[in-house]
Amino acid sequence: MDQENTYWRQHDLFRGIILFGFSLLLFQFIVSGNIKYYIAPKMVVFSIIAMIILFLLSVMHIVRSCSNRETLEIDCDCGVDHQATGRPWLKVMFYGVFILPILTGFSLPHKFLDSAVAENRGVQLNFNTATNTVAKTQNDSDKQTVAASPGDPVPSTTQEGKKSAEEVFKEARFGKTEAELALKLYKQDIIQIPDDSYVADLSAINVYLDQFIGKKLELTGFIYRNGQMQKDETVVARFAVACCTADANVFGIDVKGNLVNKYKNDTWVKVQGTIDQMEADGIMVPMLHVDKIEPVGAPKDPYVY
Amino acid sequence: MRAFVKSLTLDLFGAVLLAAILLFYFKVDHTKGLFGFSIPDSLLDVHTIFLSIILEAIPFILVGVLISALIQVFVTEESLQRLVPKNPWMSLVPATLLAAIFPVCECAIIPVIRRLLKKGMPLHVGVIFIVAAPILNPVTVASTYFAFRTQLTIVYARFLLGFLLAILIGAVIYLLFKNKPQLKIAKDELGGKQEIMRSISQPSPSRLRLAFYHAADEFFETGKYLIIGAVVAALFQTYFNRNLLLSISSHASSSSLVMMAFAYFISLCSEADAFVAASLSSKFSPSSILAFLVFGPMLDLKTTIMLFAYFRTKFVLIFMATVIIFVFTAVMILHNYIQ
Repeated sequence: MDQENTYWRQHDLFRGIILFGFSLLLFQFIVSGNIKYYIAPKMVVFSIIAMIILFLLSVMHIVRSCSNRETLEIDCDCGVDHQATGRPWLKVMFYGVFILPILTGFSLPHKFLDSAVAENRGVQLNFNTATNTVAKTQNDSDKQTVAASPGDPVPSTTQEGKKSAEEVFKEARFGKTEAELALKLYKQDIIQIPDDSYVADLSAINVYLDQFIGKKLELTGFIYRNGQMQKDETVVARFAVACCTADANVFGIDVKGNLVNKYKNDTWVKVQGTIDQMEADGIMVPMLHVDKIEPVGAPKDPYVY
Repeated sequence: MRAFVKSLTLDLFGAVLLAAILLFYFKVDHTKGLFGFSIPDSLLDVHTIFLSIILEAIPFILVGVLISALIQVFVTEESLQRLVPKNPWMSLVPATLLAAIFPVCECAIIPVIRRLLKKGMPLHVGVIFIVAAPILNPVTVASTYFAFRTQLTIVYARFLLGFLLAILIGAVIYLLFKNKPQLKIAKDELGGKQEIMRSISQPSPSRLRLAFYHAADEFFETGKYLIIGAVVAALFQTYFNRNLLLSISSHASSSSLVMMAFAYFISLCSEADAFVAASLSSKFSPSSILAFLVFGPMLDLKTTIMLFAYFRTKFVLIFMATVIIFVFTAVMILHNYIQ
């Protein structure tokens, strides 16, 4: 019976230590802010809860390993293999699987995804990934408005560019939030794309692309080029993360002009340019003719959400 | 004496492990490579994705094992039996509806279902939960709606298909297996040992504490499959070029199959996969996007590893074949109707 007891004590101890290790790993990531390499901010609250639960479980196990084990749990008839059965090397493997992420998590340098990953994932030039239909419908209705306007008694679309654009936003039948966002962006002299609404802003511009052609836009991103691009062409891209880094998508805007020549992949730049449109996969997407481009340091948080 | 020495070395090993973890916690400089070795960038990418999958999944696995532990301790077999309709055909629709309000994704569902099956829940009801809960759960609905809010056809089609296919798959599993148990049996359960233990058992600790011990043990059981699955998925995500998907998916049927295979290997959480699907939607037909969205939550690499660990091999193979055939057929039928 003694041997049995020792056996259980050790499993409790090992499991307690591993649970403690996971809890400590989460603690360090959360406190240092390094969790941003792995998890989107809105999901961090779940990591905090997990950290607390793991810590409680680890304390329970370590305390139990130091006292005499109550044999009752084995009696619970639950069908879980409460023990790591099998040969010693299997046990080593079993615990090794859990120790691996703890030790690599603590010891390997953190790294943001970069253009090498972007290459494999493919860069999205179309910000309306889910709004193709809107873009098409909206553009169609624009054309109808324009076509109808000559005979229209009310001075509408053709008279003044700005007015027509605002009217188009107001007429938006669906995607109301996008229309409001587009109007807000449209009012700026040089449209700024902040990190915290990067995808939403560019998506709004993409939906109402016709209205935005010729406007100035400024944004920050990293340089991404693939083999098929011209010398004076690049994509300024960002990784967009929904829940965790594994689901990151790469969004980018095509930038053309001689000024972009000298920038290499993964250089962070702030670029200002004039909005134009180009075709990608049969859909019109925004692009920029570069006016100004300057290297900037990588942002503290290179991902957008 | 030998036992004593062995126990001492193992205790020592535990102490060394703890010391190592603490040492890493306090001492390691993240800006350099490991012990001065520099590690190739692409391996660091693998590591980033690997850790992100694990850290993302841990809270949800904990939810799963805690629910499972609470069921184990507080739900009796009799009360469960009363809840399930006597006629198996009558239980198909209620089970699917119940799965829809069950807020767990595919990592968390498997320990819960295994527990319920042990408690005597019919096999086909469990299967319905495994395929329906990850797709139909409220969080998945919300994220899919957000990612596809202007292409609502996809949203409706995803949930309609998820609902109908869950019922059909449950029915087929009932026809094939009736209620023969398909879980693997742990060695402990084969008797003998429990009797001895029962006779010497001490006063019972509180039921809640018991539930917590359960949860931890099950965390380890489920966790090892998650970690192995995460390694494979991270390798795939880093080294697989997604442009290849396009080049091998010229036809409607082949592109649906390719997207199903893609969903299988990247093993994303069902609560986040809609965003990846949205990013692919400009390049792929709606039907193949739907194939991705419906197949992924029902079956992926990491859940397969868990299924093989808990269920009999023959059952898992038949279950997988059923899911593949049904999803593919349904998507092919829908292909002509959605654009």
